[in-house]
Amino acid sequence: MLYLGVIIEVEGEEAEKALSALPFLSLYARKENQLLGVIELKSLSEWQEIEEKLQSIPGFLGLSILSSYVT
Amino acid sequence: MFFSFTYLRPPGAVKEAEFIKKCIRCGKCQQICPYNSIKLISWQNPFYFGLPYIEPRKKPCYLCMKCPPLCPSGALDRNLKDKYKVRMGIAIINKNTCWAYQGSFCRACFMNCPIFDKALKLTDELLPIVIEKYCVGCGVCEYVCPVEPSAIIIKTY
Amino acid sequence: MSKLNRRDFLKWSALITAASVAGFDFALPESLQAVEVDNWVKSVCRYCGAGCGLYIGVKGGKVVAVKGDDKNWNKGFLCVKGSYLPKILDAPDRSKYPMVKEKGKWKRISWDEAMQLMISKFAEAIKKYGPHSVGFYGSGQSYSEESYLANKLFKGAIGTNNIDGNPRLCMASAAVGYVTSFGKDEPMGCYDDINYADCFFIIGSNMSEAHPVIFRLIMEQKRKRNVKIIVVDPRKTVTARNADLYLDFIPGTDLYILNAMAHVIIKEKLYNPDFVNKHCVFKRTNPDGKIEKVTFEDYLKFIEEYTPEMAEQKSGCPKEKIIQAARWFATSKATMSFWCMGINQRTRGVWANNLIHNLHLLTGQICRPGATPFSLTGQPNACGGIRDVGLLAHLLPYGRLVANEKHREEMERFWGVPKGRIHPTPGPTAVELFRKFEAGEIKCIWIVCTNPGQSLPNVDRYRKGMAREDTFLVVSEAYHPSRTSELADLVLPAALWCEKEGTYGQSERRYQYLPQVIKPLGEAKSDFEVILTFARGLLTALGREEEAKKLFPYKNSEEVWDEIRACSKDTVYNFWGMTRARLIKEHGLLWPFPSEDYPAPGTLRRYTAKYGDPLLKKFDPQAEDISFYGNPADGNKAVTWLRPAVGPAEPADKDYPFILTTGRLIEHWHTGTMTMKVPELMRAAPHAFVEINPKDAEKLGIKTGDKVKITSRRGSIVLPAKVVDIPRPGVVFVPFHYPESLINSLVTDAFDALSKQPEYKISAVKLEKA
Repeated sequence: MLYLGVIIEVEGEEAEKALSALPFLSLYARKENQLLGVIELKSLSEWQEIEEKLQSIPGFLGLSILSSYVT
Repeated sequence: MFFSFTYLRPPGAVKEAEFIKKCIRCGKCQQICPYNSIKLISWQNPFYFGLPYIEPRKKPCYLCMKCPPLCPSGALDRNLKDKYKVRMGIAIINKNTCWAYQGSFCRACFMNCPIFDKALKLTDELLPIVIEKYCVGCGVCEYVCPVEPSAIIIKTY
Repeated sequence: MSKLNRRDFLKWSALITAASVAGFDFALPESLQAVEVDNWVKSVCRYCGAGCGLYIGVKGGKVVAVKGDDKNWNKGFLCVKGSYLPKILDAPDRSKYPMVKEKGKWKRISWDEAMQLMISKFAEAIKKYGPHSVGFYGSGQSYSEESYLANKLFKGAIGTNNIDGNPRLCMASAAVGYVTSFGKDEPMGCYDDINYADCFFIIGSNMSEAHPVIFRLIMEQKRKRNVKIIVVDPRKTVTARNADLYLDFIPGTDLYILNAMAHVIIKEKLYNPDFVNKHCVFKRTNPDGKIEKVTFEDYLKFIEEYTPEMAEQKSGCPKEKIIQAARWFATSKATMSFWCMGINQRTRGVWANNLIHNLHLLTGQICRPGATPFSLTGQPNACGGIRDVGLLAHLLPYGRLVANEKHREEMERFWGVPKGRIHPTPGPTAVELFRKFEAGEIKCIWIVCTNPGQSLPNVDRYRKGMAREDTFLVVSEAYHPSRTSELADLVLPAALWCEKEGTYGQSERRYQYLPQVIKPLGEAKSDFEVILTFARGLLTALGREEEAKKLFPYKNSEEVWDEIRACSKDTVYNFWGMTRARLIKEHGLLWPFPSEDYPAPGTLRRYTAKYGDPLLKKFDPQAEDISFYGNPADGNKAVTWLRPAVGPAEPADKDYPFILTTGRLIEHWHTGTMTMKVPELMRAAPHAFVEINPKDAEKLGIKTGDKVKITSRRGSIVLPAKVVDIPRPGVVFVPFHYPESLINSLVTDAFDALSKQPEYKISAVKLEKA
C-alpha cells in the first residue's frame, strides 16, 4: 500500500463534495481553496486512473503530493 | 492544472521545473555521495526515472558539498561550495507533535543542525524555531527527530 | 498511539506530514492520541538526579505510557528520555536468567545454583583470606533499602569497608565540599529557591542537557523577572548560550576565577562583614597536611594575590567578565549557585566546591530563599541512597564516619553487632577498590546496578583486572551483556525500576517512593531480595546462623525503610516522620522531617530557623536564626577555606596539546544501557563523536564527519568529528554514553586527594586526521 499526503486545490463547494465521494481519497481539512487529504493506492499502476478521475471533476485545479508512506 | 510531487533534490539544484529539463540522469551525484543520501528515482516512475532525490527521514544531506561540482549539465550549481548558501528546502516544525512544544525537553534538531545555532534557534522557553534566512533544507533535523512521524520536516521550494 | 494499527499509522503519518508542509494546523484527534491505560501509578523517573515525579500508565500488566506529575516540583514536565521510559522495560537484551561463565561461555543456571555458587565463593574467600578479601560496588541507582542492606552486611556483618559506590565518581567532591564547609553533607537549599533567586551562578554544569527540567525552572524565571544568569564553562553549551554573562576559560583554571571573584568582592567591599563575623571561621591546610584555624585578616592576605588580572592570565577569561560576575553575585538580592561534574570530577574538586561556598559565605548569599549553593546530582539516588545511607568506603549511615569511634559505636549498637565489628579504617574508594581487585587482594566483588566496565576512568586497565580468571566477579544487571557483565563470572538478572519497590532521594533532599507496578521480566529479581538472600546465606555458611536471623529478619522492604528512619532519627538528617504511607500519599518529602504529622513537603531550607528548619533549636538552642549546626566543632559556624588555585593533574602540553573533556547528551543517560534501547533516542543521537572548535579544525584540516584519532597517554580512539562552535579552542568534547566507543579508556584516573573522585573532565590528548 502507498499513502500519499496531498493538498488539492479546488474552486467552489461542488468540487469538494465530488472529491469526498472518491473511494481512494479521504479529506480532513480545508483552508481557503486548499483541501488536505490522503490518497491510498495499492500500487503505482493505479495512478493513471486516479489522475484521470481527479481531472474529470469540475473545479479541480491541481494536486500536490507532499508526503508518501509505503507499507 | 498541475500535478507535482515535491522531491528534495541534491544541494545546488536549480528550480524544479528547470532541474527536470537540465538533469541528464547520469547518476554522478548519487555515486559520489559518501552517505548514500542521494537516490535515483526508479523505473517504476517513468516520468521521473533516473532523477536524483533525497529522502531526509531515511538519510539526509550532510552538506559535504561533493556533488555540485560533479554535475555535468548544470542541474546542480557547479560553483556552489559554501554549505551556508545551499537552499534545498526549508524546515517546518509541527508544533502539534514536536516533543518540545508538548512540554517535554527535546532538542535533537537543534543540536544536530549543521548550520548550528543559526538555522534553528532555541527560544527562551527552550523551544526550537526555524530561522528561514539561514535554513538550507538539508534534512538532518527531519532525520534525527525522535517523534514518529518526524515533527520537523523539509518543505521543498 | 497504541490504538493505531500499522496501516492507520502510515495513513496518519502521510496526513500529518502533508499538513505541516502545507501549513495546516492539524493534529491527531484526541481520541486517537489518548493512550488507554488501566490505571496511572505515581512514581519517579529512573534517570537523573533531578528526580522528576511522574505517573506510570499500566495496561494489562504492561507499562504503556508515562506522564509528568504536575503536583511534584517538575510541574508535569519531563525530558525526552523520561518520556520514552516505557521502552526500556522489554528491551531484547534484558537479562532474564542467572548466567554463569564456564570456560568463556555463558550458561543458564537456576537462582538456587547461582546463590549457592556466589555464597560458597564469598564464604571461601572470607575463611581463607579474611573479611577484606571480598568487596561490593554499589550504585546511586539502587533503592535506599537495597544500599542500606548491603552496607549493613559488609560493614556491620562481614566487618570490611571494602564497599564503595559509583557516586564516588560523580558526587564525592560535592559531598566532601559540603562536609568541610558546613560540617554535614547535602545542600541546605532546594529547587524552590529558583523562584526567589535574582542571580544564577552556574559553573561546571550543562544543566540544559544534563538536568533539563531544572534548567526549565530557571528559564521560566528569566521570562518572568529580571534575573541574571552567569555561566562559567569551557564549552559554549545551550546553558551558556542562555546566559547574560558567559565566562569561558582553560579547563582546570576555574579555581583562579573563583578566588579572583572573592578578591573583587573583598576589594570592592561587597562582602557582608556582619555575616562573616557571626557565622564564619577561616581555615587552611598547611603543607604538612595539618588543618589550621586562621583569621579573617589571614584570608585577606591570602586573597590579595588573586587579582582579576592574574586570573585572566592563568585562565584566559577576560578580567572584566570576572569582575562583572563578582559584582552580580554579591549585589543581587539573592544568588543561587549550581554546579555539577565540571567542578566535582577534578583532582581539586573539593577545593573548587569550597571556593564556591566561600563566595556565598563572604556575601551572606545563603540560608535565605533564593540564596544558596546548590550541587546538582547525576543519579536518581546518589544523595538518598549512597551519601545519606553511607554506602561509601569512609561513611556510616546518616552523616557518621568510619574513622570516628563514637560513630562506629553508635552504629554497632544500632545494628546489634559486637563492639569493634566495624573496621576503623576507611576502605578503598571506587578506583582503589578496582586496583585491589586487579592486584588480586580482593578475591570476590559484587557489582550491583552499575557499569564500571564502561564508566571507570582509564577503564582498560580496570577491565583487565575485572577479567582476571582467578577472581570472582558477580554482576547484578538488568541488561546483559553490558560492558561490565561481559567480564563477569556470574550475572544475576535484576528487576528494573517499576518492577520493584523502594525509595529514591534526589538532589534537593527530597525522598520519593517508587511502587512496584509490574512483574519483573523473566526470572529477574529485585536486588533487595537478592541481597537479603545472600546476606542470610553467607552468614549461615560462615557458621553465624543466629546473626543471620538477628541482623536480617526483614519480611519486606518497608521493614527496612522503618529501620532506616529510626537510624536517621537522632541525626541532622532526621526523617523519622517519612513513613511509607506518607511517602505514598505525598509528591516527595524533603528532610529533615521529624514527625509523622510534619507538613508536606517538609523542610525546604536548612540551617535557618526563620525559614523553617525544625532541627535548628535542637542542635543549637542558643541560635537566633542561622546556625550551621552540623559543625559544632567550630561553634556551629561555617568554614571559609583558604584554598590556593592549583591546576589539573594533566594539563595540555607540547605532545598532547588538546584538553579532552567528557560529558552528556540530553538523549542518553550514563552508559546508555537503558536509553540506547529506545530506537527514537538512538535516531536522535546514534553514535559518539568528537566536538572540535572550528578554529582548531581548520588548522588540522578536519571537517565534520571526518574520522579523527584522539590519543592520550593511556590509549586512543577514532571518532567522527563534529566541527562546531561549542568547545573553546584547545578543548575537545566526547560524550561518554556509548559502549562501543569507550572514551573512558583515554581519561586519566588521577583523583582528588580528599574526595578520591577522579578527574574525568581534564585529560591531555592529541588529534590526528585518521
